[in-house]
This record gives sequence, structure tokens and C-alpha cells, in this order.
Amino acid sequence: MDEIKLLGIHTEPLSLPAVYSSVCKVPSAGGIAVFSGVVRNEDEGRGVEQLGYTCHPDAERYLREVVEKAIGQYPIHAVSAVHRIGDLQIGEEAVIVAVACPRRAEAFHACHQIVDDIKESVPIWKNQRFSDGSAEWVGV
Amino acid sequence: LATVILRYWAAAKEAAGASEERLSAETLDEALSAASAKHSSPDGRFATVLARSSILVDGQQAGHHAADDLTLWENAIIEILPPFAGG
Repeated sequence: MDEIKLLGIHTEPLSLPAVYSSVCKVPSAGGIAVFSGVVRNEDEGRGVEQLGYTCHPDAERYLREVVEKAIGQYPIHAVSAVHRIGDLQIGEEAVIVAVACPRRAEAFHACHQIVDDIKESVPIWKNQRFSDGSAEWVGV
Repeated sequence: LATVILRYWAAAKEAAGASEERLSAETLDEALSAASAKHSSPDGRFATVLARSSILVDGQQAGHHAADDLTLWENAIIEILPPFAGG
């Protein structure tokens, strides 16, 4: 699908400017929605030091399915979705999604759906390491 | 009985203390029960993770427990995927 500009799961830090640029300069698109999910320093009142992300070898294929589904539902003219794995520090981007559509409402909605669907259906796991030295798997 | 491969991911790998193991079983339910028995512990960690995981057999979704009576074949790969937590 030509609309997909960047798609992947990476061990190196993600670049917000690169993801944004990848969906820019599409003459037919008047609204670009960008979401970045970053590592937060607390979870339910407990201090978080680091998040360890791992994924299934097929995770990229599932990510592509999520993006293709959104392309089938919204007038997306350009889209990028990237996810990071490895050990991430506070403030680092774990996921970035950018969607360019003719108008803002569909760009917001499509971006929102892609982020929700990534959380729901892409086999990525998060090990949360707390300031007190303990750790837990998110969602288990 | 078929010899099958169980492949554990993330929390399941941690609870099993291994990423992969082989065992003999006739059905999916039998294979998962055998794995549960093998990895049982006082805190029931493995069973808890397993109950919340989705199961793939040779890459195909076997549902949570919808296909427990699935008859296994030689070298089937059963993957245990804990709840996803991307983003």
C-alpha cells in the first residue's frame, strides 16, 4: 500500500521529526495527526525507572495489519507507525504514529484507532521496572 | 501421542524459566495441562499467566480455550502469548 511510509519495530531510538516528515508534503492532505507514546515515571502511584519492551518475531506483520485496517476505514493519504523495543528510559518514545488525511477529524480518529489497535493486537510486551527494584509484566 | 514444542514469550517465558520445551501430548488441552503441572509453584504464577495468554498452534490462533480438544500433530509448535502491552 503506497500510503504506508514508515512501518516497523526498531531497537534504536525513534525519531519524531523523521516520522512526521514521512507523512508531510502530501498535496491532498490538510490534516496531520501525530501521536507519540513515551515512557512515564510512574504507574498507579509507583515510581517507574525503566520499561523493557520485547516482541514476537511476527509483530511487524500484525502492525501492518493494524495500519492496513485503518487505511480501509479512513481516507488516509499517508501513514507511518513505528514501535521501539529494548530497554527504554523515562521520556523516550515507545511508539509514534502519524496520519495524514484531507481533514483533521479523520486524521485524529484514524491516529487514535491505530494507537488503540497497536495496544490491543500487536504482540509486544512491557516489563515495568520500579524504583524499589521490583518488576512486573504489564497486563498480566 | 505427538511430540510438540511449547514456545513461551515474555511473562510466560519468565514463569516457565525457559523459552522452549518439548513434550508429548495428544491434544492441546493435554499439552497445556502437562506444562502447568511441570511448572506449578506455590504462587501459581505459570497457571495465572497461562490463563491470560492467547495460544497459537503453528502460527494459527487457537483462541483462549476454544480449541482445547484440538488434536496435535508431530512437531506442532504451541506458542503462549501473554496479554499484549505495546504503546
